[in-house]
Amino acid sequence: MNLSELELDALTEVFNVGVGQAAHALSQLANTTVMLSVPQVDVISKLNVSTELINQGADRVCAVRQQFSGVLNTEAVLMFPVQQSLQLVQMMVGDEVPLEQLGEMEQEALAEIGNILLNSVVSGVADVFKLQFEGSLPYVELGPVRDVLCAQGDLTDQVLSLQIDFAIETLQIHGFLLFLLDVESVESLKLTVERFLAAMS
Amino acid sequence: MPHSLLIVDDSKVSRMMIKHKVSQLQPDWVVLEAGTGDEAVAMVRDHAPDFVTMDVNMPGINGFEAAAQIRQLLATCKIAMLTANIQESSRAKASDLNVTFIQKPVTESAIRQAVDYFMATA
Amino acid sequence: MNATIDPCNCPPWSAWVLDHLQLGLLVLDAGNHIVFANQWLLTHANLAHDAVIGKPLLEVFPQIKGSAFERALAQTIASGYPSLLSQTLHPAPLPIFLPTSQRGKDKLLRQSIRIIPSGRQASALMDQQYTLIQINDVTQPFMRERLLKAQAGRLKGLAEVDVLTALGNRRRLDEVLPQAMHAARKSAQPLSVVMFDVDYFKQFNDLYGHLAGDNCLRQVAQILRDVFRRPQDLVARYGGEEMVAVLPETHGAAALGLTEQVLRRVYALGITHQGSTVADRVTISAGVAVYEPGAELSPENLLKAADQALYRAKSGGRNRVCGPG
Repeated sequence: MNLSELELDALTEVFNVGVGQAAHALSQLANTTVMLSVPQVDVISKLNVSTELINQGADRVCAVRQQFSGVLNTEAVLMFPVQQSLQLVQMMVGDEVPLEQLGEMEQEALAEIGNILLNSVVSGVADVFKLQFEGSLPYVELGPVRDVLCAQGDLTDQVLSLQIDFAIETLQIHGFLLFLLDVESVESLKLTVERFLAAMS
Repeated sequence: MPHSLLIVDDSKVSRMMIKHKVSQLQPDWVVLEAGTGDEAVAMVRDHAPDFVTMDVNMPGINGFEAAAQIRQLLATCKIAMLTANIQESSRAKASDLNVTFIQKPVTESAIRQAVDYFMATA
Repeated sequence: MNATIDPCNCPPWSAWVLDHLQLGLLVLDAGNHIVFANQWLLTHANLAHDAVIGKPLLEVFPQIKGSAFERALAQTIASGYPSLLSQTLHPAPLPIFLPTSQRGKDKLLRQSIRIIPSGRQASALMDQQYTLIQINDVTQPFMRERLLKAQAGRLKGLAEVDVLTALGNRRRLDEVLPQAMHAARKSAQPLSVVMFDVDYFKQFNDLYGHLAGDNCLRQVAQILRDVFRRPQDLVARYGGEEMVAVLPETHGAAALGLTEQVLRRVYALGITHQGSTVADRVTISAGVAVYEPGAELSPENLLKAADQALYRAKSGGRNRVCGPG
């Protein structure tokens, strides 16, 4: 994946549209202000993502995955360290029900949260770039970072990565939103961004 | 004489997007750009624009400091602060500096809101 | 995309299947009117077919106005992507109940809902865009999971209890002591640890049998529980006849005083012990060690210090407590 600095900058602005909308939707869900940072957009290898997460102390992660298809196809994967995933759900559910494990109920809550974020971000991209996608329902996975990342492909694969900080009252967590793209879709994306920049200059 | 707008944002793409959307609404406006707060102050000194859109979060001097300096040079200029996070403390600064806030990200409706602010009793 | 069923040529069993599916289905047209509600849904929502078909969704279910369900539906229609409403965050968005014949009272079912838009390709094959709402009744799995979690909690508790004395066991002590030391550091208050040992216990067992020995330990344990009864205190069985008390926010003098109480009460039990050279009855010895926050001390070494104090009590004549230092 070969995106110039300007193209990455453009993607940051475009993704940020969806992130802003997601923050609004999540705030309504949580019934309190949810703040999402401007995403840090990079093209990096799965190995880098894995290393970064492990350095943050997250050897096990919770991932919400969704498939989007259209003029380009991508699997969007939102990942949090397991402990923080639990804290996020606890924040949304409220204090009446103490949570100790990421059981099926908690995973479904994460699926909903992930679904809202992923749909908003891709929606934002679709609106700005004037693209159309079909999306799938969310699917939750728990496990060691490397297993989750390498369900398909291997650690050398490059991904489009967004790092987003979540702040909900006293809780601050760091999430990775990865877009896994096949070769044709990478080309498609690059063309789309080039067209977008050309239309404005 | 057509109005002039200075766009201040450290993201080149952000500036492009704002310029593009503004030009669709007001094709005759002259659009200037600055990538930092200091550059913005210099451009105000040289060109005295009618309107300014100012990103709050920039490296170097931030949007508020730049806006304060611009106010000193040009009391009449209309300034719209663009921020992803509109908080209460910022509202106080807004009334001090006589600026308005526009919520980022920079969508078409956000730009329309800015243009309406600029054109009000202009 | 290949539709598994040709929309222009529905097989004869499709209507039957839809009406026998054991989950709720609603289909909305492009104007959000209900064009289909399957039998499961009609039964569980207590609605008649004619009251529902062709009506706007909000008219049939006015309670969803302003709810997360309404927002999710609007979002799905706007974006074209499916939405999920988890039972965790929205236990019962729709008024769906156990069929009234099964229960005297109306009981809301716990729901997991998916909202699925027909998407461009599918819509092109049909006459317009439709939205499918799938409602799963997850009441049973929810109850099961709640039960499992409660059981897991109880099991954890059981795994940390000594069966004979009902005191905490070694595992519990190993878990709690570091936490208590950490808390002591945070609150800047001393933590006392007292190690107890029944005097001449082996001889007691030999003379009176193991059942009597067990009984003796139980009585001693009860006294410890009675004396060290604040919620933050922990009493645990450390070994055969050894027990440990972990006393947060307690300095050495207070620990000594309380321990002397324990010794007196054990003495007052009057359990005959002819094998003891100290008294004619069961007595215990004890050693106190104190952790001052700021001191460099590991949990193991703190226990060791209490053990050493206990040793001094033993060699000093038994039926006594020795303090730190």
